[in-house]
Amino acid sequence: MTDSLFDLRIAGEIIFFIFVGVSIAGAVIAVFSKRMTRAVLGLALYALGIAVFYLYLGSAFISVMQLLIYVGAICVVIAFAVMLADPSKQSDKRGVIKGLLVLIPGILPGLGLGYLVIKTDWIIVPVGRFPPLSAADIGRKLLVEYCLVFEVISLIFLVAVIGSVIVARMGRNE
Amino acid sequence: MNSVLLSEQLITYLALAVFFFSLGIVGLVRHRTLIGMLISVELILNAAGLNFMAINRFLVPDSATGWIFTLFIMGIAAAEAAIVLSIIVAVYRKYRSADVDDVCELKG
Repeated sequence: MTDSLFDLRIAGEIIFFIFVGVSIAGAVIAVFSKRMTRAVLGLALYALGIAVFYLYLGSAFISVMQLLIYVGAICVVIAFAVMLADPSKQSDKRGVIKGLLVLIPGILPGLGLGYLVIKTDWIIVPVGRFPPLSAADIGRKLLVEYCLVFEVISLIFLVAVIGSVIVARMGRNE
Repeated sequence: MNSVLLSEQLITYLALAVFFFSLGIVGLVRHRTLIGMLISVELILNAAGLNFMAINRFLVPDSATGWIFTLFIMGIAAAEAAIVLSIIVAVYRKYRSADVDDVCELKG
């Protein structure tokens, strides 16, 4: 019994690492590809990997929401932007040195944050001390404790929808 | 923690989040089109969400606050994508390009 359980955990670990590879590959494609269509597909791959991480972190609900919102909505919106604006011919007149120079603003904060992650003494609560959370907990918290934030976010969405419609209509009559 | 599996360690997720965050900043500087910059911003926001989820799971497993913040981050990212799409459409109509180098004059 314990043997098969151990095997399952090893299999879970292997699947985890497969999706680590998938998400890293997606992120690298999204950042370093010259064609925007490929970058959008890379973003979709990356969002899929993140959704699997959320599953490993114990939240199937957030994982499904991630898939719905990122792969289902945001990637489609960006694909529409690619089709409407057609930026496929990205001018890349940078040399090799400038291309490497671009890495610096990413590496510096990455090193700093990585140092902080390693240096900090995380007080880890052992898994299993509390019952696992469910989507019902989110609903209760969202409408009781974070009710104000919820309402403000709704207002932001309304403003975003109206604003994007108005901005997209601008200049159509010229 | 007696677990040796990397998928049950906080530091794995934090390291992944740091990696994705810096990759997103590199993309933000590297891409010359508005769409490429939007994609990089999505990378950064997702890294932040991963951080929230990991810390909620390992440090405060009795509270769902990290989940709620991740949901809010996703919502904000969706709203932001919609706004940027409309800005891209408006800019493209005016300048016939979505390159940030071409979009360099204000109406005044």
